[in-house]
Amino acid sequence: MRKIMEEQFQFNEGFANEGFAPLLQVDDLCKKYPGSGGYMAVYHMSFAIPRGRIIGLLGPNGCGKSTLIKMINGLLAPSSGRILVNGFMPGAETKRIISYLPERTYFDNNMKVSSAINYFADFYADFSAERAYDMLGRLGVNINARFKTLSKGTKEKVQLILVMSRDADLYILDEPIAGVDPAARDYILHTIISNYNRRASILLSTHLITDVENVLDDVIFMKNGSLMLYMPAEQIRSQMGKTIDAYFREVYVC
Amino acid sequence: MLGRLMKHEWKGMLAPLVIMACLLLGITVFTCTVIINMNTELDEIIENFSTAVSMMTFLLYYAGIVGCVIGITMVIAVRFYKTCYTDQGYLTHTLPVSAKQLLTAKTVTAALSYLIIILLVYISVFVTLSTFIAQAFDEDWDFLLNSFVAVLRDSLGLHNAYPLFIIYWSCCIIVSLICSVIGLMGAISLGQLYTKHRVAGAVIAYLAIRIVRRFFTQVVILLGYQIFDRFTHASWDSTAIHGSEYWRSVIASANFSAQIMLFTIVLISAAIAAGLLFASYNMMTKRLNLE
Repeated sequence: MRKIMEEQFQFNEGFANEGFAPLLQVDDLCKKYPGSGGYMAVYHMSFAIPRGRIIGLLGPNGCGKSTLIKMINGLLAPSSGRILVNGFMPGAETKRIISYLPERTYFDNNMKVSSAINYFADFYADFSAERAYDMLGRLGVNINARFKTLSKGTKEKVQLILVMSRDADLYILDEPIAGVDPAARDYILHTIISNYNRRASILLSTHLITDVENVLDDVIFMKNGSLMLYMPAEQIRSQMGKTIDAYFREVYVC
Repeated sequence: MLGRLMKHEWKGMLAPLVIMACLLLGITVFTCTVIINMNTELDEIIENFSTAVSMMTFLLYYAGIVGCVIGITMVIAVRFYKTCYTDQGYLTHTLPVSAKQLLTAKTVTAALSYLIIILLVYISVFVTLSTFIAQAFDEDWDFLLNSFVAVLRDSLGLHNAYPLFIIYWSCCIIVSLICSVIGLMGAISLGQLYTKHRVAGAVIAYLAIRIVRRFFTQVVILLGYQIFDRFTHASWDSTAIHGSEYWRSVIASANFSAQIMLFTIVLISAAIAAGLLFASYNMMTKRLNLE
């Protein structure tokens, strides 16, 4: 374990030594919710994410994944520490280059799918309406349908299609495959892999590791709000001699 | 980006606005039709029936007017809450816009919607009252309008200052509307501090804001009466002759006091609104905590 931690440190340091600015840099980040006593939802986290990687943000429920993701997206203010996305603090500038898929479905139920496409096209310069129409067509979604007429799974897929129709620098996907059937999971993962901008990185939060581990380049393990491990997926497999899912079960054994 | 935000805000507000405008048009036409067909020269039974129908119609009309004003307030409040502090907030707050732009777009669109409904209500009341007076007193519209303007001129001591008066009142109304909208949004934002009862928190905050505003307004009105007394050097003499020098001086003093009161009340509303705007901004940038 010690050896792995040392290698993880070298892995993190590597980005800094290579002489390029990381796409996402998190420095000594802490988050304490008001009224939570002394509990820290995120505790002194530091890491950096370069371009061109698919990173799994893994950890059990309540370990701080969503809190971290919200802070990166500017939906929560950190209690202390710093986040830089492409050199900018979270704000209008970083929202331009982050494509975020939250756990929730965020469209008004009375909105039409076509209106949602127009909405994205109006606000995001990197959004490709053609790509969105193409994917929706292949999924068989009626673009004139209102969201209230779609099933929960279809709403999530439409939302994912819109998020993946952007040529963003950083895709942040919070539990994209939670609560959907295995066939839908395959569709979602295929959509993610085949549509993201290759110069971009994907930060994918999930606790359904078996389904995603084959697509991950790196993994971040979080426990009790802290960074526990950050290293290439292949390194875990070769050194531990087990899958990431098996290693996860070992680390987070109840 | 501000233009795009306003475009989408406007799209969201359009449907409820059209519904309320149609409702206002419907009740106005219905009420005017009833007024025109009121007949008091028939036998007693039909006359009683006609009176009862008229009373019911006026009640319905009143309910419609109040409903539209409360309705637009509710639409603004619910839309702001839903788009900023529920699941839809995940979309709103990840748009590549600043919190200032977001608040500006929402405030301008909501104030415009409010203004449209208030203007429609004024037009509706004017048309209904004119129809009623024309029917009751058998006068024509031009005469009624001229009489109304004459009453306004005499009671306010305006003489030839109509354009200035209209500009002043329009500014006051617009500033008040913007302050009301900001107050509503501020209350909803402050309500988010009660993380477990956000809606109840917003209602409590709204009531608290109203109480504070009412308190300061009452203080201003009391001071206004003092100013009025100071200028007239005497209490109102009910036997004053209409048009006399004394009557004119009292009216002038009353108007002066009223203008000062109005201006101060608008100023206080603006100061409270500025505080609440800051509260909303702070909530969106530093204390946002979507579920």
